[in-house]
Amino acid sequence: MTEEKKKNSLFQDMIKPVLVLLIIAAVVAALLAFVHNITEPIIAENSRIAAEKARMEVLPDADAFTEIPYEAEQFNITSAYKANNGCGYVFTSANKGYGGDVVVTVGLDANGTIVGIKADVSTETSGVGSKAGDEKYLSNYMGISGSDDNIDTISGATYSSSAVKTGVASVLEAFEALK
Amino acid sequence: MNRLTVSVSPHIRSGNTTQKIMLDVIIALMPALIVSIILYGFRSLLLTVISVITCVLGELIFEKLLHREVTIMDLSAVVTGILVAFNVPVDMPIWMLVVGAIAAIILGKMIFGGLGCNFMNPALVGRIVMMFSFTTAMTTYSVPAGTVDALTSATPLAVMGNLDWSNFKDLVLGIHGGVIGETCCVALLAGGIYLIIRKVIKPIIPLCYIGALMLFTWIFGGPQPILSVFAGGVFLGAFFMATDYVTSPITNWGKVIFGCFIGFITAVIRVFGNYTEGVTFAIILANILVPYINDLTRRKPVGAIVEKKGKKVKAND
Amino acid sequence: MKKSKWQIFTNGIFKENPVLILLLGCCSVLAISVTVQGALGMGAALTFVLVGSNVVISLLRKIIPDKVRIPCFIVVIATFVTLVEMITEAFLPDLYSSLGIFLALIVVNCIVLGRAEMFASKNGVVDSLLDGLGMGIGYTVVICAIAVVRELFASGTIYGLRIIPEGYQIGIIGQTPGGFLLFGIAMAVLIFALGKKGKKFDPRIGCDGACGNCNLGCENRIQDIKKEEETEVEK
Repeated sequence: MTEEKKKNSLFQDMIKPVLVLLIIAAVVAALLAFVHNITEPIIAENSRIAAEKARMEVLPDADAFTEIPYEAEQFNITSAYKANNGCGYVFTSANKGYGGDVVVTVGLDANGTIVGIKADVSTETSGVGSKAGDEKYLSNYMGISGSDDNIDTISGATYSSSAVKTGVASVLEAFEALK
Repeated sequence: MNRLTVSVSPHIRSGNTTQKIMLDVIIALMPALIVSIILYGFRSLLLTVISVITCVLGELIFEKLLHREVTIMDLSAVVTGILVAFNVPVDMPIWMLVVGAIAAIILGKMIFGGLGCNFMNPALVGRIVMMFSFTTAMTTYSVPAGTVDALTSATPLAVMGNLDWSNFKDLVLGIHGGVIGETCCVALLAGGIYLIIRKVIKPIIPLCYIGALMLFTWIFGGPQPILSVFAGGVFLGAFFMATDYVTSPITNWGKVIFGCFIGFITAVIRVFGNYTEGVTFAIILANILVPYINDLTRRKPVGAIVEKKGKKVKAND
Repeated sequence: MKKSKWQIFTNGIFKENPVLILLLGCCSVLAISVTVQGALGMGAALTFVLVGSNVVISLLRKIIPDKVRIPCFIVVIATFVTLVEMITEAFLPDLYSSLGIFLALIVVNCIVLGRAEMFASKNGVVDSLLDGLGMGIGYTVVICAIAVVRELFASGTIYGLRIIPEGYQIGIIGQTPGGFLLFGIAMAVLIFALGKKGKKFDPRIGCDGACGNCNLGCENRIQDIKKEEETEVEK
């Protein structure tokens, strides 16, 4: 390479580096495109199954789900699904907790009674705010319907548990309107 | 004794040894210990004894393993042990306290070379380890026996909005939920005054700390700036932790800066922070700054040539 | 002096362990060593990228002009990382979600670029492959060792298997401070173990004397180490 360098021609100095980099990038891009084509459908399928599973967890009786339209501005929810066999609905709502958004996934039966609830508290303080995601607290919400939720927030985890509470209230409100 | 002895300086020695100073600190901690036994029962004594034994044994074993000189007789491990125990609620499981005490003595002190080489207060290292590891156990406070509501409750700080002059007496006497050693301000103050009279500590750091805490709590709009000083671990921190020789500045002005800084950070954490109590973090943060504070406030020798800034850097180039 | 193939391979595991001696790629070690499963996955992913990029760069080392070598290296490395990312997302979705951002961050992991620049661009294909494999295994061993301790104390399990009953966990070990703590302990243990009778182990300088733009001022020490190595070989 040192000998070639001595020539110091325009080709060696300017064009060759660009060409080499270009060729490497082109080859690599082709390779990646090929692999992407193979993996993409699998990835899409995986994420669909994962989302389905999450909904199934809060509404175990359902067979499959269809997304239902809702007015994003009017309701404080992030997604709405209806069970294909008509046994209920699944809504999610994201509300500000202490560290970030707390996403609650709520399963409602056909009458609007809560049959399953999950809260993602990964953004909350571990051991303090994360109590709001414990089954022990969330079980308080099981079985309520309409808007009569007199559930207390957790002292010491007020922000996180109110985020859950707001989420549940929004879901119930959205359900009433969408029914 | 008629012989002329030739020795290297220092020729005048004070009778103060680490052991004597530490003994004074232990004596000063006794009122708080007694009050905690009265308030929370004998379990608090048990916790303290276990913590002390763990700390002393930890130091002994560490030094034996590394073939170092055994220094447990200087009593500093005993002080660390008492302070670690003072930082836990009375219902703390014993194995958790042991983990905290080991962390305090090994991570906080011995790893850096023992007493005098540690840059953070060992007891606070123990507290932080326990706080992060056992958050639930560390924040489940029981209310002293004899009060109306004998269930667990938050510290007055957690419900700082509820601080009120009407329960000032309970607050100062320590009749409220909290960790075993920090609730009774009167006992801690008595110990602090004893230390000041014995000239073990200077009052500068505690005074600046408490003053700055009131001031900044007021500036930040926290509720009850004056009362909030009596809640939480302020007195324990101010008299027994912030004044630790090894981890506080040596100059008087340094002590002023140090005390005010702790007060400022405590207020910031209490008013804006994620945790209800900020004394621990504030003192640890200030501990880290001590070398710089010492450097800034060191008295210049008379007649010394002041080195211009940047000169040293140039010489290196 | 030329190293044997075996030496090149074991170098990455002990004497020039990328994490504990060369101190490269510490970020992912601290972040991913919370569970053994994640650590194994991360180690495997990094080893794959390292071996792949080392081999390809070694193959291309005569073609790539000096001027654009860093962009070329990065393109090759990024390709392998993207491959790993797509494949894990498609076939091992659980691992993919537990590794999170750190899988993509292998691109900027210093170990990979460091070995490309210091070793693969100067050595043959077989040597580069062995170097990549050794370094990758060295990384995996360290991250797994730390993960075993962290998972045991913080979750009471090893590879998901419960060993310490629920309720006796020390949370801080699983958090960032615990990561740093164990990282330091692991470093001390390895350096202690590598020391010979009465002589402390002198960590090698991972740059192998590429002093170019670096002004850490350790040239003399590199010379000393090289001389020492030569005398050792003569013996």
